[in-house]
Formats: sequence, structure tokens, C-alpha cells
Amino acid sequence: MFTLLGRMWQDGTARLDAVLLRLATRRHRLIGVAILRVAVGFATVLYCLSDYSKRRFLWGPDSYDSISTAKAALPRWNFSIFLWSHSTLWFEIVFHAAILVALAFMIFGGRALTLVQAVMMWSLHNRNQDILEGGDNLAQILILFMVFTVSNAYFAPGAKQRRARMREQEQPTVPTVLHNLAAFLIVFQTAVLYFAAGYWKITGKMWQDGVAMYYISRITGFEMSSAYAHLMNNAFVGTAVCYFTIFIELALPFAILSARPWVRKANTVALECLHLGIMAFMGLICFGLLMIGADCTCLRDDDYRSLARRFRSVKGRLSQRRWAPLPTGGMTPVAMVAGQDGAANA
Amino acid sequence: MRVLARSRESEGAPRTASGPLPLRVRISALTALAAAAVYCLCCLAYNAPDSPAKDRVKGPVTALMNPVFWQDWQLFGPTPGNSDDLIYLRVRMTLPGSGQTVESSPVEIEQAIDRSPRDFRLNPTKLPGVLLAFDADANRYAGIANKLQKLPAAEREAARKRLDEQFKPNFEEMQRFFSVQAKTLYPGARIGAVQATFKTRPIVPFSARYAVPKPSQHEHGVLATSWLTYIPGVAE
Repeated sequence: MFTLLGRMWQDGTARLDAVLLRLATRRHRLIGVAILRVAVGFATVLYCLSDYSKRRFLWGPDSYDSISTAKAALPRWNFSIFLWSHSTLWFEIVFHAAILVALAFMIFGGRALTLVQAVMMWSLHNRNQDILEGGDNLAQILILFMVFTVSNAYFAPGAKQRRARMREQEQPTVPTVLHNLAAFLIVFQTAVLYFAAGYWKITGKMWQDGVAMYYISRITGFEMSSAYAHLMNNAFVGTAVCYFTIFIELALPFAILSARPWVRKANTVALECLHLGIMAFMGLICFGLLMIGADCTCLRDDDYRSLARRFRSVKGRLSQRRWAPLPTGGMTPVAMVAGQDGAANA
Repeated sequence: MRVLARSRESEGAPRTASGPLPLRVRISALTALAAAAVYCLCCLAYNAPDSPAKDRVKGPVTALMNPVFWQDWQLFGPTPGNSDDLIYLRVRMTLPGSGQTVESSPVEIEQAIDRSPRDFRLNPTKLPGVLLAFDADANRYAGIANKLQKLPAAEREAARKRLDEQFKPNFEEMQRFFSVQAKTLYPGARIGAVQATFKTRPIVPFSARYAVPKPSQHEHGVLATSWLTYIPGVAE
């Protein structure tokens, strides 16, 4: 009995050790996190610029949302550095600093900038909560996890050298553990979001009937294109879009867990298309960008590499086809074929 | 794309490092793993639909999640809006020439603001969100106020006062916002007070979308504010 328990304990600790070793030795999802960084930075810049001329009305000290009202609306333990002073100068400094920080975060990344971006983004969102969309809620959570990640291993100046340095580090380290767990939590939170959103939709009568998109397309605030409203008039198209949305939202957690890369890729690409549609037809640009960034973390680094290989091979084939020599008078088709496969030399 | 492809060669396959983990790393990893596990469980419970099981853990989970990790992922579910919101603004003002005090007829202001994102589709304004928030506040207030009508008369007055106190910041926001709107509508006038009426108009039902003539959708009143004193000095 004791021998069996001892063996089980040994097995358990060995497995735990293997998990810890995997967590501690190699950083995962570096590409996805880097894309998320770019998306969050870009969306924050767009968010600030969308109402740049109305900035004092929406976020300033003399805003319709007065500083005392905004302070009263702050959730417990929340803050906004916009609310530290009634001075217009302070507001202008902080607002423009938020734009610059977001820009720097988008380009350079890194833990320190992520922390500063988190402070600025939370401050901006807490200053006026009326104009937030669902994507801001997700970004506020993900940016906290991003503080622990290496977000600049790709798509940033010096990324190649950074990756080389990471490869040289053979020993398991605490920052690697934190990066991997934070990346896992980003993916987990995104999966929970989609599953919850899919669940709430599937329980709704309008979604079951396939008419939800018709009504959404007619709400004045989201009616960016008459073509979209016109398309949703069609019972088949409307129902297909409703069911497709629910299906890909509910499927995401399972796609992430799937051992088949094409399932993950297909589901992620479908979600990206959904958000591109939301950006184009509903005008929710920042929301769409943030969601696309979050979706990108659902793919593994190997998925991106295989996509890159596929892209290069398709590009290569296309360029070969484009530059293939045309038959000329001095060359018969047979000679050309022989030259191509090397049979003439045999 | 070339960068991604090149990096694959150098990073290679997952390493099978042998040997024991340093104690510092092991302890840190276990602590972080435990914290992540707690977050995952709380996140699942927080987002789960209401049930007797959720009721038992709701208190501690909400206490842990709400301050920093508050989240709501209903996103047009279960029922997207099936009506358009409208806000009618009336203004009490003194005319510049005659000095006479008049009340304007109601002017609908929400639909124009809701259409403003179309002016710049690449990066649309967030202004409609403000009115969306006001509509939500008005609906919430009206819903509670209607419930209060069922209370005994003795309790009703006190409950109404508590409700007004609770919504005071929301109405202050509206007061400032509508003051700016009034100034925009009547630039030359000396404005004394503003009053808003919130209404909804149902969207033409899906089944009647091709009906000719188009069925007329009647507006329903939600809430009418009292006359709110005009607030000067709000940024325009």
C-alpha cells in the first residue's frame, strides 16, 4: 500500500516537474502576444484620435462628465490620473502622453512600456466610462497580463537580437514562467469571452430565429452601411450570419484545445472575418481591432510559422507562374519541357 | 513573414531539459500556477449563468473579480435592441431681442448624433456612446421608479428620494450634456433651463420588412426629466 502511494506520489511530482519545466524553459505564443501588443497600441491611438477635436468635452476638466461625477463613478480600487487635477494644462499633458505612450507601446513594447500603457489606458477609460465598447473591457484585463509577457519578441525594433538572447538562455527562469502563464491567461480570458458571448446569443430567441442581425443592422448607432442593412433583409443571409457567429464563438475554446492546427487556424480566421465585418459595417473600429488582437493569441507560434511557409510557397508559385518564359520561335514545347526537368542532360 | 520563417530554424523543437529545477524557480512557478488556477476558476464562476451553484460562490468570486477584472460579455446577447432610442430636448430661454422668456418645442437630438460616425468611417466618433449610456440610465431609473409606485404611499416618498440620490451623478451628467446641446441649438439665446424626454421607437419587425406602405412605428415615452437648470462653462 505504502509502496503504491509512494509510486503515485513520485509519478505525480514527476508530472508536475515536467509541467513546471515546460513552463520555465521556453516562451510560448510570442508572435500572438506581439500582434496583440500592436493591436492594443494602435486601437488606443485611434480611440484618442477619434474625438480629438472634442477631447475637452469628453475627457477634459470642463467635460459634461465632470471630475466629481467621474470620481463618484469609479469602481473600488480604480483610478484615473486625469482626475488628479482640474487644470486644463494637466489634462492636455496627460491626454497627449496617453497617445505617445500608446504609439511607443505599439512600436517598441517591453514590460516597462506595457506597465505605463496599462496605467494610461485604465486612466483614459475610467475618466469617461460612457463611451466604452466591449473591447475596452477586454483590453483592460489583457494589458494587466501583458505586463508579465515578452511582447516585443516580434514586430519590434531589435526583436531578432532579443530572440537570439532568449535562445542563449538555457536555464529555466522565473520570467519565462510568468510569460507563459500570462500568455495562457490571455488565451483563457479570450476563450471565456467567446464562449460566454456565444452562450448568451444561443439562449436568445432572436438569435435562434436568425433575425438578430436584421435588428442590429437597423439600430441607427450601428447602421454604417445601407448595403449591410439591405443584406440582412434576406432571411437566408441573416440566419446564416447569426448561426455562423454563434458557431465560431462557441467553438473557439475547443479549437484552441484541438490537436489539429487547421481547426485553430480556420476558427481564428473566421473570427477575424467576423470582426472585420463589424469594423466595416457597424463602425466599431477600436472594438474590432482589439478583438482581432486577442484572437491572434489563440494561434501557437508554430501555426504562424506554418502560415508563413504556406504564404511563401503560394507567393513563390505565383511569381514562378508570372515569370515563366513564353514559347519562342527557336524553341519547341518539347525542348522546353526537357530543359525544365533536366531530361536533356540525362 | 520571412522573419517568422527564419526564426523557426534557430529556435528548433521544444527542448527536453533534464536535471532538477532550481528551487527558486520551482517555488515561483508553483505560486504563479496556483494564482492562475484561482483566476481561471473565479473567471469561470463569474461568467457562468445564474444557478443555485453560482449563488453559493457568487459573493467571494465577485469580491475578487469586480475591482479589477470586472467583465460583461453579453455583446448583443441574448436579445439585441429592437428599438431606436430618441431624446427630445426642450429649452427655456430668453430671446435676445425682445427679452421675452419662451419654451422651445421638443427637438429630437439623438438620431443626428447616432448618425455622426458616418461622417468619418475610418475612425468614427464615440459620441453616440454617451447617449447610449443616458438611455440605459433613463430606462433603469424608469424601471425602478415604476416598481416604487406599487409601494405603500408612506414608503414611496422616501424610496423615491433614495432613488434620486442614487441617480444624482447620472442626471448631473445629462444636465451638463443637454446644456451644451441647447447652446448649440440656440446660440444667441440666454438659456435658463433644459428638459429632456426619453422615448423609444420599435424597429419595423422582420416579418413586416417588405410591407407596403411601411408600417408606422409609434413612439413610447420612457422618462421625462424635470426642468434642469442650464449649466454654463461646459466645454463644447
